[in-house]
Amino acid sequence: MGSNLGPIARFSLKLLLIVFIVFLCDRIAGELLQVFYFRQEAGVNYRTTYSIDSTNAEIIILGSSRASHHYVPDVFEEKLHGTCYNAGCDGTSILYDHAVFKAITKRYSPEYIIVDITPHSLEYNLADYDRLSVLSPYYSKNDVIKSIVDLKGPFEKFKYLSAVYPFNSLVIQIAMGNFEVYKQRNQGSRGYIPLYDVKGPEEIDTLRVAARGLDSNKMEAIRDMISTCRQKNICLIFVYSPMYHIISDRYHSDIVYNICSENGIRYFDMSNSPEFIKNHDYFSDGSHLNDEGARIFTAMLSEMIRQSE
Amino acid sequence: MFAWIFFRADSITEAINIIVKVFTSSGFPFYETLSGLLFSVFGIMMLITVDLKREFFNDSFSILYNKYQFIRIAGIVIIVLTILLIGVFDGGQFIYFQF
Repeated sequence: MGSNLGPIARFSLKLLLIVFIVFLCDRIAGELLQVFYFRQEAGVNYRTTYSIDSTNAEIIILGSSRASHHYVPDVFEEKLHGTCYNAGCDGTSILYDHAVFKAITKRYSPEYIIVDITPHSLEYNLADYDRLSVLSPYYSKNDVIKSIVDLKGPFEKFKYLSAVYPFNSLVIQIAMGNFEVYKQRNQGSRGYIPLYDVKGPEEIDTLRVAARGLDSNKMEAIRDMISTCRQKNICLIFVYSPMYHIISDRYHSDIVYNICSENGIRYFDMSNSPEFIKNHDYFSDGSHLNDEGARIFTAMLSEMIRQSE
Repeated sequence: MFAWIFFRADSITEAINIIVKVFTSSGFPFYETLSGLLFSVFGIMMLITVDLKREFFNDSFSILYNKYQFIRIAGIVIIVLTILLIGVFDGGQFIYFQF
């Protein structure tokens, strides 16, 4: 910094220097995080990467934690005689399912795509957009993912000018996913995550669905899945898997049912199926089946799919 | 402490349900994810470190007001990268969002 420069020029030079160093460090840190992110061989991030980039299974399961805990690939493979991958991801919504669906169907056409719906599948919820951040590491690598992550807001594309931002809040997961011990402990069974707890015999309650409005992006996601599957000759099935709650409000699931009926798509509502609602031993908690329940449910669903063909 | 429950809950009924569950539900203390727990511990440790530094070593060392420009710039860069890496950028996570 020359001493003959005025204070504004000196401040500007310092500012430029800081911006340049931040930019440089951001690039270096971002590249490193990217390398280690995609080196993971176990855990939730690995399952998302595998679903988007690698799976070529004939049966694909999409949905939230209820999908990842409810659909057992081994059982599908035995009953439907095709390879299966469970691409369900905890805490996600139909927007995430749509992104993974688009990434998969861009690469190849599975025989079946099974989408697990929830009581809140179509409602507008800002948290569902926030949860699209799990797809951030794929933003610059995959155009179909980018188009869906951009739904988060008009400023999203500016945030991705940073190379570190796509890995926001993922440092610990990336570190864990690269540990050898963690890799061995978390070798999932083709995406399926079994739960082994057994729910206590409490009295069954009624599920209350908050009165939020319909989300047009979610409606559009379902319509796009239907039209893509029709074009690519993929058998699309929507399933409302069992819950240990009495479902009195079926506003969202009825809309999915109506869209399915209009388009000749199979829809199986097993949410209050008597085999499950009368047996708390099949559940880990009110919304999730345990391994025993999941295996029984998957066997029943496989049979229903076979019979409906 | 309990005022925060009313502050964050969607309705009075939900807030009352939460308070009832605090006293009636048993089991292991709740944490959503291991990374969430570790981030919380990191945040609390940062807060305690800054407090201790201000209380006992206030004049001994400063990063952002250091006499060496290199240390000042390094401090700014580390803060910016830390915000990009663990900062909250999504509206739904922000506790004041519902107001």
